[in-house]
Amino acid sequence: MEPKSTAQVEPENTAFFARWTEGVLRFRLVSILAIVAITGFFIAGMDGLSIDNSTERFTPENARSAQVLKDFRKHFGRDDVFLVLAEGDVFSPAFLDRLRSLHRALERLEVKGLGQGAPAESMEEAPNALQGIDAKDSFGDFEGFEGWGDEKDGSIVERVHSLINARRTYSKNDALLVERWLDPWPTKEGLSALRAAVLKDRNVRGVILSESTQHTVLAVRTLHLSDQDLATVHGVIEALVKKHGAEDFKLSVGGLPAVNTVVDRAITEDLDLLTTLELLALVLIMTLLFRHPLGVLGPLATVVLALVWSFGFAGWMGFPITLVSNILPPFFTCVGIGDSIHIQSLYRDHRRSGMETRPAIIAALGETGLPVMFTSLTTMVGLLSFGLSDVQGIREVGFVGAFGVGAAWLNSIVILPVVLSWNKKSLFGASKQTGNDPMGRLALALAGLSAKRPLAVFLPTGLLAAAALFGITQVKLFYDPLEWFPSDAPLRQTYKTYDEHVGGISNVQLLIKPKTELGLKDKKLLVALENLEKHLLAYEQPETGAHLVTGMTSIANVIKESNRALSDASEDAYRLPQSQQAISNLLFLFEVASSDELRRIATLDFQHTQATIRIRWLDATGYLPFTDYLEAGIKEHIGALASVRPTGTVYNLTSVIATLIYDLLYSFSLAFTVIAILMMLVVRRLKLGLIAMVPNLLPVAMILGVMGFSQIPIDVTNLLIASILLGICVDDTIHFFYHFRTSYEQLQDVEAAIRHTSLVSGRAIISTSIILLAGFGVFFFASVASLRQFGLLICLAIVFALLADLVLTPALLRIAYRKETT
Amino acid sequence: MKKTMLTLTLSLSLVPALVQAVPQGSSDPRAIMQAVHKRDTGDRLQAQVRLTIQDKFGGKRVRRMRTSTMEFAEGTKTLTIFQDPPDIRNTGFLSVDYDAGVKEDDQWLYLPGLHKTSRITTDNRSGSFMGSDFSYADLSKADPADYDLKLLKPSVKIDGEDCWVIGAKPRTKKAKDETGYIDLVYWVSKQKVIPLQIKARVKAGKKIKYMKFNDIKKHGNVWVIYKQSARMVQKGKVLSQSLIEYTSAKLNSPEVKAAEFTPQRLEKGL
Repeated sequence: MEPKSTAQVEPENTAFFARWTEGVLRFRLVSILAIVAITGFFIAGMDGLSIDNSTERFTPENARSAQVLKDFRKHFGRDDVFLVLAEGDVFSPAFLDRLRSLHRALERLEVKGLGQGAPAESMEEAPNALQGIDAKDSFGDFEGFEGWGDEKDGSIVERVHSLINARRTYSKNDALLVERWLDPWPTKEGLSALRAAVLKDRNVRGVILSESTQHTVLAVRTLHLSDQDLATVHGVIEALVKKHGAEDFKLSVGGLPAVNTVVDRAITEDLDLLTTLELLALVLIMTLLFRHPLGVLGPLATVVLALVWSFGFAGWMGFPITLVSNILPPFFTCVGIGDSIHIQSLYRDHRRSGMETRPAIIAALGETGLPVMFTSLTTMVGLLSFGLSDVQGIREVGFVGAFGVGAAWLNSIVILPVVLSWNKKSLFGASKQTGNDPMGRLALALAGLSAKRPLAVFLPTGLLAAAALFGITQVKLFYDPLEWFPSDAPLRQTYKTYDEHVGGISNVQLLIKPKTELGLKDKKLLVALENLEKHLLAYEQPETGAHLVTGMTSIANVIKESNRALSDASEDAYRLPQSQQAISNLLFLFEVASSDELRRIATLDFQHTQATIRIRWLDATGYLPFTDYLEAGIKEHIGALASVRPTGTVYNLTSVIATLIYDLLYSFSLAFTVIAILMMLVVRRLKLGLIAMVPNLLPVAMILGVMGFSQIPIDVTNLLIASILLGICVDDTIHFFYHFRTSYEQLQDVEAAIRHTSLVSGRAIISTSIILLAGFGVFFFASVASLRQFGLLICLAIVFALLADLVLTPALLRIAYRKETT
Repeated sequence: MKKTMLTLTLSLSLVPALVQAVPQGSSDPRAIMQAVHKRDTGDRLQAQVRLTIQDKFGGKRVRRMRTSTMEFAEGTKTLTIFQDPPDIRNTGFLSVDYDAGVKEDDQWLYLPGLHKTSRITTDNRSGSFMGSDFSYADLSKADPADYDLKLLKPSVKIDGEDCWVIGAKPRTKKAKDETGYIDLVYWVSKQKVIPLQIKARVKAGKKIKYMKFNDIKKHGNVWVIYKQSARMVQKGKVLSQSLIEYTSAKLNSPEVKAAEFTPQRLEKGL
């Protein structure tokens, strides 16, 4: 049977969108003013934008470790410290002189212009009872002091801990001496003996000094500052380090605040770069496709407005930019362009057929307004599914993303018609003959592949689908913020060196609340902590057999250290004393000698204590067996003696991993269900709706399969990939199926309907795919490695989605509608 | 001179202060601080002391102790026995604080649980006293000879009392090292010739330490400060505060005898 002419197809017109467009065009000035007013509102909101990539942003709020972290900070403050790693011959006169000079400079570090942004957590999370203290209270009346509480000068550094002030407690001639290892300053001749002695100190070796004495660390604890201020401080520390560094005194800066700052910097740079490249690519491709400034201006205005509104929305809502939300600008660009292209392509078709500009715009919106709205809705649903995540950073992306997609849609049906209405003559580069343009020919050729031998399409598709399913089983989860940077990035090098040479840079912190009457001095509890330490030190990694824990510091160690110091530094005396009273006495002794250090491991009222377990750096999944082992150890050794709650780096990382799995599955399932329902609504046929899920799902499955085979793990930056892919695939599928349904209903011929659909939608699908490829292709220029991978996967998915819509879908439709047509 | 522990607590402010004459109408800062330094601090004091420390997280620690102090030819001896909390009851300190240049101070700590008396030495006089905001140096008499002094204001009212305001800057390495201060400002009562408040800039972290002396009572001719508090402030935020209070004090107590101040006595406890 000869295919019927597509000219016989009367496009379905949605009265609402036609009337809407008429209204917009009649009140062009009002429409523009309304958009300008809204844009002004959102520009004002952009003032509130910030960047935040702290681990907390990606830690599930309801995760137990997050709660423990809050409690931990209530009692012991923030434990984020900058780590300055110094490499060289530590026990050489020149090195020590430089170390002292750097230590002093860090202690005196003053940074002007701080006070940006709120401190990283609320007062509720870390009540700082004395910050807002009255000048007059039971402790005294301080009102008489001039300038009381007004002093803003002073160092932002609370404490620097390094070899320079490392404590040495020992006994000599029946006297307990509390001194510093480097006080008096050593002579050149005494350095060798000093090195040997210092290496025996458990508080130094493996904590701030490497076994080889080629590396030492200065831990810089700052006052409680906002993330923005910490970024400023990081810059100042880096400058200081640069000034003090030398060939034999190599310096680098690490620590969690440094990681956050470096990630933030990379994000800012990437955001600027990617958005600029994105817009450039957009202008270039739109110019090639539509060959007229107005053909570029409309989509460009749609995209730029969507970006401004979204950033403004994020600013008003107090949602910071994160590594995850960084993918949104290119995403909005692609979505905005997708909407515009479908409308503008139809407008061009109508102009080509001789319509005047105004009716052509109304007709284009009337015909494609509904599918454009549905594609926006499905994409919004995909993103909103993240709004239910337990992770703040993911949830915010969901809301901002959905808002941006909505903004792009609204602008494409307001600002785009207005811009198109200014066009009087141009056909936007359209050829006179339908189907003769390269994209039309390509769409027809692809659709024709299954015309004679559907198996030629189904067989390879089936094989690919099977391979994809197998690949999915190989997909791994991964979360390691350091992997976001190249292996030679200074920050990664610092972490690696510290971890390998000094001691584990990761940690678990145990918040311990004793339950017995004697509290943290109870000998039974101290023995239990000692046993827990032995238990942890014995842990071996399942895959490698390597020891993971490099040390543990608890109140038990402090008492053992004091006992040893009182016993002529004899190693045999590094143990808990026999009697309970002796334990209390030793703790008192420690308090007398080092009250500041005691405060770091026990609250003033002795109701809480903390223990720090130093652990080698792994990706988060590597810690999962260890956390089980640790918790079993706590149960076995501590039991009812105390409530022991773990938190710290390891728990933050592992809780993110657990959430990744949940969020991925949950958001995808939710998005899939809602999108399936929307598909059926838009095509108004159950059968068509079900068939449409194949080209929707297959590209997603294939990308996950590719990730499995190529060992690209799922992490925070690509967690959204499945849902975003679904959103992208659905856009093309909706347009294809919507037009197929309307043409099939009129033509009652599957071949003619496929041909018509391939020409009408196929061209727009190819155009949007090219733009999407260019849009996500700019991710290859990102400095963060996982963003580059993300771009590659999305580009692959766009090609798969294109083939699924233009090759597989016609084959499926031919099978499904064969009998009806016959 | 290196003073330690409660010797120091008692020597500056908790020790009674006898008014030392400042030449009539003089506003020479050195003469004023010399008078502060040389004031009669009385002898054979016995007192009950409560030390309260509060940190920036709101946590508190309270210690109660009984202390006796007595002057001897070369300096001052102080015996402190802790009473509360119970687990450190009977833990004792004996400090012998020698006058300048005589010899190094001695300090013994008796730990009843270990049945051991240990001599303790620490060079870090700018370090915290018992975890409080007072350093060992704060609790000792500052020798004016170690400081550059300047009268900042001839007359300022503090708690209703007319005061001199005197700026002091450590000029000797010893004073700089021992106090850890960049400089200090004293508000010295003209009537009592003792500081009512001190503001010190701390070198480490450029913190500000505020110290207040209240509840000053007269025992005979000697002023006794019953309450002294300190607050450590960094960049406008209070980091911690401490309060040392006398709950009772007695001068020239017949119970304070020379035989009390020996390591052997320490081991007997309360």
